[in-house]
Amino acid sequence: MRKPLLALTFTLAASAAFAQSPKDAVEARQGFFDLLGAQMAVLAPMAQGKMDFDAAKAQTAANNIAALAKVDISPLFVEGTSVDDMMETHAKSEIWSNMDLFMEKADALHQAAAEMPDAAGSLETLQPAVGKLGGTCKSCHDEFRSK
Amino acid sequence: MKDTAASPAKKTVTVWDPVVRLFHWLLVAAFAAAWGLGEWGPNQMTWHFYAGYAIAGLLAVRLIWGFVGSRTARFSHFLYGPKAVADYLRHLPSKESSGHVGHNPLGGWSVLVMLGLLIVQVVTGLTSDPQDYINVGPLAGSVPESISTSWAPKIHEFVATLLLIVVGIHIAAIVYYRTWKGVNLVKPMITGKKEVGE
Repeated sequence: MRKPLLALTFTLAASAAFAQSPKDAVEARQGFFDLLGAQMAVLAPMAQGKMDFDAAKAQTAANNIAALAKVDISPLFVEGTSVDDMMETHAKSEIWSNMDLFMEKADALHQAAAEMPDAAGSLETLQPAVGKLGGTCKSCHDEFRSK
Repeated sequence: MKDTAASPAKKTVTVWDPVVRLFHWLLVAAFAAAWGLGEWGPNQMTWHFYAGYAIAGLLAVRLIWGFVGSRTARFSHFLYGPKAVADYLRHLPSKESSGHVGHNPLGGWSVLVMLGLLIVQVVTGLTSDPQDYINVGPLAGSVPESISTSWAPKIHEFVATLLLIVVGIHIAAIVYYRTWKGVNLVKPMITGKKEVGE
C-alpha cells in the first residue's frame, strides 16, 4: 500500500536534485530576499523608533543579515527568469543586460550587511547602519526591480 | 514702479492675494525639492518625505482657499465653461493680452490639473512601499499590498514625469506671454499687483 507513495517521494526528490527549473530558481531567490526582509522587519522599526530597541533581538537579526549576505545567489539569476519571461518575478531584464551594475549593487549590499553585527549593539550605531543597508535595497530596486 | 504719468489709461489692481502668492512660491520650492530629491537624492529619502508633507500641507491650504479666499483665488471664479475656453484658445495667437485679471480660462483648468496631479502624488507617496524598509510611506500599511508595493509606486513614478511636463508647459506659457504678448506674469505673482487698461 505505501510503496507507491514511497517511490513517488524518491522520484520527486531525485528530479528536484537533477534539474532546477526557472520557477525553482525564482522561488529560491525570492526565499532569500524574504529571509533578508524578515531581518529588516526586526531592525527597521527599532531604528525608526516604532519599536523599543532590544539589543538581543537586534544582534540576532544583524548577525543573520551578515550571514545571509555571504550566500552567493548569483547562480539563481539564470537566463530566462526575468519579468519579461515569467509572471512570478519582479526581476527586470536589465539585470542580464547590465550584470556589472547589478553585481555592483549586490556588493554594496554585502558591504552594508557585513557592518551590521558591529552596529547592532546600540540604537545610535544601528540607525545609520539600517539606513545604509536599506539604501542598498532601494538603489538596486530602482534599477532592477519591477513594481 | 508704475509710471501712471506716462500711461494715464492704466491702473493698478490687486490680482493675487498674499495666500495665493505665498502658496505658489512655497510650492515651487517644495516641488523642486521633492522632485530633485526623489530623482537624485540620497537613498534614505527622509528629506523627500518632508518635502512631500510640505506639499500636502500647501495643497490643503490652497483647496480651502479655493472656497474662502479672495475673488481670483476661488475655483468658482477661475473654472470657466467650454465656450470661454474655446474663445480664449481662439484669441491665444494674438499679440494682445487676454486681459484676464486672475487665471485665464485655460490657465484655470491647468491649475486644477496641477492640483489634482499633486494630490495623486501625495496619496501615492504616502501609501508606497518600495520594499526597502527605510522609505516606506506612513500609510502604506493601511492599504492592500497590491497597492502599496505595486500600483502606488508605479503611479507615483509616472505622475512625477507628468508633473514635470505640466510644469514645463506652465513655464512655456509664461515665456510665451512675456515674449509674444509682452505681458509679465511673474511680477504680479510676486507683488500681487497687475496693471490693466482702464
